[in-house]
Amino acid sequence: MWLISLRDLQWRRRRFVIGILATAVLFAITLILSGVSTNMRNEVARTVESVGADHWLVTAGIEGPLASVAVMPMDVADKARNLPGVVRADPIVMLRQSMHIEGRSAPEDIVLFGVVSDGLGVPGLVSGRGVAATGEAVIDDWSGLRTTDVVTVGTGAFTIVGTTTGRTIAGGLPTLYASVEDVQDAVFQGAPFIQAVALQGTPDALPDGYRLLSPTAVVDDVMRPMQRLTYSLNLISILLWAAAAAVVGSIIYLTAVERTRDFAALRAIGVGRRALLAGLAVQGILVTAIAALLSFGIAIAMMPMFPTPLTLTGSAVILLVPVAVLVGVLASAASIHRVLSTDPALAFASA
Amino acid sequence: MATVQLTDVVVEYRDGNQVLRPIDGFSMTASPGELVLLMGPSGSGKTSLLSCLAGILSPRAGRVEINGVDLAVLDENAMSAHRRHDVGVVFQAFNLVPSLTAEENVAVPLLAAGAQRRLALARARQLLTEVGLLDRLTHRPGELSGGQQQRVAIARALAHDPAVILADEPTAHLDHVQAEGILRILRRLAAEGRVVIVSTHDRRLVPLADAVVDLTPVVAPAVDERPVVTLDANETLFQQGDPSDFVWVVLSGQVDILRDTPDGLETVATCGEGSYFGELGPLLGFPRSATARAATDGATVEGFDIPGFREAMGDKLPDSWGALAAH
Repeated sequence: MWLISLRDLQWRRRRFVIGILATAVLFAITLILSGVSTNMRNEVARTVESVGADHWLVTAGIEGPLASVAVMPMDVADKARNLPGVVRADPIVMLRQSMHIEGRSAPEDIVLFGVVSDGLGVPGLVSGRGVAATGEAVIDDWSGLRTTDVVTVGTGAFTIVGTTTGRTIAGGLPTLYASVEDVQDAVFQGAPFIQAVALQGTPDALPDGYRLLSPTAVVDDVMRPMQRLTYSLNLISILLWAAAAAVVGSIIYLTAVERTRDFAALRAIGVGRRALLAGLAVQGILVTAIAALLSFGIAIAMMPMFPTPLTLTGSAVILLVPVAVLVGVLASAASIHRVLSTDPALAFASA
Repeated sequence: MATVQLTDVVVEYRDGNQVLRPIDGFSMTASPGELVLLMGPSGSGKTSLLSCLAGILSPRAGRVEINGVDLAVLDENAMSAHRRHDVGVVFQAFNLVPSLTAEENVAVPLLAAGAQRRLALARARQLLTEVGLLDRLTHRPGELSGGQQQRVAIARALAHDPAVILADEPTAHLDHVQAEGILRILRRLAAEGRVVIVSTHDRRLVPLADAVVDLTPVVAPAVDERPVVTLDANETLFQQGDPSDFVWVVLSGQVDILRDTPDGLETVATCGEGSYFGELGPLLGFPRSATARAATDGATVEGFDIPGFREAMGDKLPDSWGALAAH
C-alpha cells in the first residue's frame, strides 16, 4: 500500500515540501548545535593533548592551570626535571588575555601560551616558522591573522611568524604561542612565574605544595565553566527535535483529517487499519528522512555564518537519520486515532 | 454460487437520547443473477442494509449471510477479507482516492490483498476496458466526469471478481446519459451471475430489476373508520416503530407518550381528555416515533383517519396542522 502514501505525497507536494524544508532547517540547527557542543570539548582536548604532557604539575589546591590563577616559580620546572621517573619537564604559562591587533580598534580574546623553544607545548605549524627570537609568536589560524601581522598582548608586542590550526578553547578563542620569557614580560612584568610544568614520565614523588593532574583533568578544568552552556545547547537540541516532530506531526495529522473519507472508503473496500497506519508512518518517515539528508547540506552551508568552530562528527551525522526516522514515526502516531476512529460507514454518506 | 440471505435483521442507531430503528425484522434472499432494488424514502434503511451486507455495520439482531457464512462470526481480519473478496461496493459519492489514477484506484483492493503491483495494474486495465475507460487509465478522478468516476468505482468493486455487488444510489449524481451507461453495466454484472443489490430512489431502474424491495414504511389500513379503545393502566396502544394508522383523541383518562432512549423508555408527554396524539405518522407515512401507553385505568381513546380527524377537529386545530395536512 506504499502506492497510496507515495501518490498522496505527490498530490500534496507543496505542503510536504514546505514541511520538509522547515524540518530540514530544524535538523540543520540541531546538527550545528551538536557541532558547537562537540567542538567545545574537542578543541580543549586537542589543545591540551597537543602539549604532549603525560601529567601537569600545578600548585596544590587548584583544579587546573587555566580556570584558576595560581603561579609558581620558574625553577620548579628545573626541580621537576630532576625528579625520579620524570623524562622531561617544561614550564608552561597559560592565560586568557585580550589581544590588540595593529590596525583594528576592538581587542580580541585569546589564550596566551608561554612555552620553551623545542619544549613541550610547541605547536605544529601550517604556515610560516616557529618562534625563534624575542617578540615572535605563532597563532591559531582561526584568528584570521597571517605572518607579519603585529599584535599587542599586555605590555608585549609580538610579530606573527607562523600559524597553527585546531588550537582553540572556549568556542573558538585562538591560542597565541610565544616564549615563556616574552609572556612573563608581557603579563607578569618580567617576574619569573609560570602556571604549570608539563611532564613526560611519572614522578615517584612530588615537591611539597604541588599536585599532579592528568590531561583529562586539565580538560575537565577548562570545560567546567562551559558545562552550563553545553547543557543548554543540548537541551535546545532536544527541544528542536520536538519542534521537528511537531512540524511533521501537524502535517501528517492535517493530511489524515483531510483523508478521513478516503480512509473510510478504503476500509469499506477491505483495506485493513494496519495498512492505513503503515501508510501514514511511511509518509512521516519519508518526510523526516528526506529532511535529515537535506539538513546536512543546509548545516554545511550555515557553518561559515558561525563565529565558533564546529565539529560535525560522523556519529552525529549517522545518528541523525535513525533519530529522524524515529521522529517521523512518533509524529505520524498523532494520526493513529484519526485512522482508528474512522467509521467505514462514512463512505456511504453523500458527498 | 453466491446467495445473499438476511433473516429478521434489526438495525438500531442511537441518536443523542433517541433510539432509531430503521430496519426492524427485515428478511430477504437474493440468488445469483438477480438484480435487486432496495427502494424507499430517506431514512427507510436502504443504506443500513447495504452496510450490513458489506460487513460495515453489525445488525442489532438477525443474521446476515453471504455464501452461507454468517458475517457476525467474522473477526476483523476475516471481515476485511470479506469486504475485499466477497462483496464489491459502489458508493453514491464514488469515493475514489483523488491522488491515484483511474487504474491505480481500481488496483487498490488487489494491492491491499498483497497482489504484485504489475499484476494488479494489469487487472485494473482489463476492468477499466470492460467499463469503457481504456482511454482514461492515467486520469485522476478530478479529470473524469461523474459517470466516468462511477465506472471507475464499479471497476474497483469488481477487482476481486466478487459474487455480490452492492451499489448505493449509483445514479444519484449522474445525468440521464451517464446513468444509462451505469445501469447497463449493473444489469450486465447481474447477467454474468452475480447478485447485484442497488439502493436507489431512481424509479428508472425498476424495469431492469429482477426484484424490488420496497422499504417505504407501511401505513396500516384502517379496519374501522373510528375505533374506540379502552385501555387498562400500562396497556400499550401502539409501540415506537409500528406502522402508523390513526390519529388518536383522548376521550377519558390519560395516555403517556413514551420514547425509547438508551436508558429505557422516557415519558415525553402525557395526554389528557380532549387532547390528541400520533398525528404526524399517518399524515406523512412515517412509522410511529413513540409508544403510547395508558397512564390510568379505563383510559379511552378514539381513532380518526386524517380526513375524519380534520373534519372532527375543525377550528380546534392549530394553523400549523393545516399547513402540514395541505402538504
